[in-house]
Amino acid sequence: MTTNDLDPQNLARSCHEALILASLTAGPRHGYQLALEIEEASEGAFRFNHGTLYPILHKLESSSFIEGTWAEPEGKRKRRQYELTDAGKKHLDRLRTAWATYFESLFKVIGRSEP
Amino acid sequence: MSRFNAFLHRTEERLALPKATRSLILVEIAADLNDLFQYYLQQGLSEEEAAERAEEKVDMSDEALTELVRIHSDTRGWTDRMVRVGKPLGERIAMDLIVIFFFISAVLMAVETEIRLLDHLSDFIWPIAGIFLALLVSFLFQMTRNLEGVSPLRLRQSLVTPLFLGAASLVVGFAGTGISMYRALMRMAATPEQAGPIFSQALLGATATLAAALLVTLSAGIVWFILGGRVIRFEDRATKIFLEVK
Repeated sequence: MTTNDLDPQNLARSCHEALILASLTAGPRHGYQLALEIEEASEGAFRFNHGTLYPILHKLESSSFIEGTWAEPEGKRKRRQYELTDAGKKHLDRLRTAWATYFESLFKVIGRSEP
Repeated sequence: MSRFNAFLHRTEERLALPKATRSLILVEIAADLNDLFQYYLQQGLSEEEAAERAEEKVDMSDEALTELVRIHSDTRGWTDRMVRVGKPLGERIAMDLIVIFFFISAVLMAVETEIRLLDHLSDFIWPIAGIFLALLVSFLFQMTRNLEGVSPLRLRQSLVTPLFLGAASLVVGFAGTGISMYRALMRMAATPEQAGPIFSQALLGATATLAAALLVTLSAGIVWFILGGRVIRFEDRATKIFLEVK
């Protein structure tokens, strides 16, 4: 994947996909867990609305990058949890490369801020 | 879960999807709503504030809903409408019988007209036989597979396999017919005195191969129909179980 694979009109989506896939490297998560963890890990920089989360999760699942299963912890209600697949790990690697290249190119043009 | 019933009902009304899919999405949303509600309670919010905040967080924009519908429609769409035609048991049995009737009719016609497929088949029968074998293996695997815990999206995607194999058989059948006839015409041009027998033999071979390909395609259609019905019955059963705990 190159920066060309990051559709300028879908940068936000690609960013969300990378965030979700990266969060799932730590293990299976529920939708709400993902949103909270991403928000905490990014110190509030990425605030996920769950409404945005479902289409992305379901899209990643239909692309076989994640696998959704119904978990039923004892005494608790059924929950949908998602797990990263091998294809998802590869896709995450491609996204990491694409984003790194994208930001390098961006900083070449706009420059970095002085420390 | 009565606290969020109104919210879930509003979301349900905006989800233009078949009932089974819609219900599974709503159960997922309901679980997240409840978890968020508990989370906000732990953060010190009152019950009303926590519920309001949870709903705000889970509420989907029109664009998000459209996207969700599009994702699920990709794997459903016309296949779902076809399989779901016979939703009541009586209609479903009638649909099954019609498909089986067509298959038996095709086989009976072949027997009745004494089409001796095996005597005239061309080399192209081997890829068609391979496709039929793949169809059989796929069918047996899907029928004996334990569907519990399998994602609905993945189940839907598995329905594409028989359709793909059916289409492949058709393509090989037509391509085989064309190539066989082309070869025959070349031989006829080279040996005009043998043109008659060569042509009739080629025509027989091409027709027999095409008939075999069509039978495999028809079988693929039946397999798809049976598997589709199984997936839908599973989804409906799963939905009922989920809704019981709602």
